[in-house]
Amino acid sequence: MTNHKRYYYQVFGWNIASEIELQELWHGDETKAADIVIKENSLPHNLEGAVKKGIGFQIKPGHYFLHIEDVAKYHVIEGKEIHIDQYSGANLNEIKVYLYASVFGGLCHLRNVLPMHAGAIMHQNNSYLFTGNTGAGKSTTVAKLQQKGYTVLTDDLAPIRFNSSGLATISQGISRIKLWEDALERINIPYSEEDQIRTEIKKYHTPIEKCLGGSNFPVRVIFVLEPYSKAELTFRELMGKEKAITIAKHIYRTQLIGALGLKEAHFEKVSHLLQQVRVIKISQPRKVNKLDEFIERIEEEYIKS
Amino acid sequence: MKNLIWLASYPKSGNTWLRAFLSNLTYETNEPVNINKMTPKYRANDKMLIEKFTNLEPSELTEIELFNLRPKVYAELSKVSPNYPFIKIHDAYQKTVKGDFIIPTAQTHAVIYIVRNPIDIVGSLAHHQNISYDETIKFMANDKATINQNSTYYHRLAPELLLSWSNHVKSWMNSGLNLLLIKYEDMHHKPVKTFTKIVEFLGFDYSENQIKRAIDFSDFKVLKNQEQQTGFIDKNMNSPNFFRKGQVNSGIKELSQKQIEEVRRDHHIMMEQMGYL
Repeated sequence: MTNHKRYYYQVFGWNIASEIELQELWHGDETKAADIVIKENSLPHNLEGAVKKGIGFQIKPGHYFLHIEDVAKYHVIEGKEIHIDQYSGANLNEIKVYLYASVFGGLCHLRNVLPMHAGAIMHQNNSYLFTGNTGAGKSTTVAKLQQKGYTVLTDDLAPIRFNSSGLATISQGISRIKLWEDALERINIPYSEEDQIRTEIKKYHTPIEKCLGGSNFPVRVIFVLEPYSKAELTFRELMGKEKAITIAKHIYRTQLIGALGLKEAHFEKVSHLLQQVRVIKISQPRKVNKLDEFIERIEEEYIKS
Repeated sequence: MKNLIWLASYPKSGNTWLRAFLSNLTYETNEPVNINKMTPKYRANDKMLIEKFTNLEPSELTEIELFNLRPKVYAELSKVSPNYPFIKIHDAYQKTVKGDFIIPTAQTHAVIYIVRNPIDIVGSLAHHQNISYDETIKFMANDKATINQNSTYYHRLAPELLLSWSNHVKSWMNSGLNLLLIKYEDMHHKPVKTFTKIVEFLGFDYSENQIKRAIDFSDFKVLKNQEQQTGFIDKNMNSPNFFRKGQVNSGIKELSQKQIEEVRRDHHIMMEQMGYL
């Protein structure tokens, strides 16, 4: 897996130098200084001085440690280095599944950005986010929008950062969208076994078609997708306390914030975000397929308006 | 801390009714609690619970990994809960591949296990899963029976391994946990006595009037009416509604004699033990 050669990538606007080949990331510029270095390294079983120990993860300020039995141990240091100690015989795809989700989530908090659990698209240099619980349809929505010609920025993790004027922006993430088999069939995207993210999981990679480099796109609207047991599709703009609670609920890996010592900075970021974005809650019927109607409405009422 | 309270049952055996009763009892509102905001807020196979305590993406874990993680997740939930969280569970009581019991005994305060006549479950489960009565009877006799497997569109719930109906009941009866066995039929025929027994077993302090009020607010007609008005998040997407008849002895009218005999043949030992034969 490694030969100490360095591969250069770009993700969420960061330059990455990695000892591990990560084809799912966009190519980077090796002449630029790396913001994050990914190294292979032997790691202990525990994070020394951990202030919080959860199931498989340990934290202390500046450090995030994840241990997945039979796969790998990961140590994120000060948001600048990711050390990976893989188990002998571990499957590289499995190592990457945890790297791109939980480890990148921890990395975002350590790099002082606000990671939303969301997919996102770009339109006319603005970004539109789609958040919701597991199974709400974030990835299906962005994949469907890609079919309609929009550029997808990310499908699951959307790190929001604030520029010097306090403007909330996001950059493009990993170059793949992960979709369940039934979602792929629902929106007619072909797939094959080699695209499967893990052998036993019926979830597949499909490519994001256009690379946008490291550009930042201001966040305009966050759509909150919620499965609904009734047949109609409803849209409702959230305001005040409900808006704040809903956004806070969809921040990625909030359980890390306290132990990383980032509580105050976190609330400040959420507060900045709430002041500049609209939050629209969309209740979608679980049984009736209203995806086309839903996409048309968000285009007409929010994206193109 | 021994603080977890489990509401355990085979599916379609009155678990939601018990949740509605406990919600109306503990919330003490002037009108029935909205069925979509009931206690417990925890469902044992909710992947959000797994995500919260493991920091992993549950949709990218295998069925075995999810199952292995669940006892650890409940132990963490126990640690962070200042009171007595209710958790709804449909799994049989069994061990994970790692050798841990699905629910951690060290953190378990009590289990309310509801049992219902399997002949009456058939119609209700068939409706819920949108399968035929014959398929449901086979499902209820299958020791590998699992619900929420290969779900489509909506992947929030992890699979729950039920075993057969008989072995489901047996697994909980032999668990050695602090368990109260409640019959669905008694919830219908002797509601005040049965629900009072549950309240007393849990060590709660509520008056007879409060218990009667919670029984009225969780009446089947109230629940069914609420579902018609607002929908119900627990409804299977393939089924037209969650609350169907909620009756005792409905199976005798719905099933053919042959189907009734088949259920009796599959489960006669446990049915006899539970007083259904």
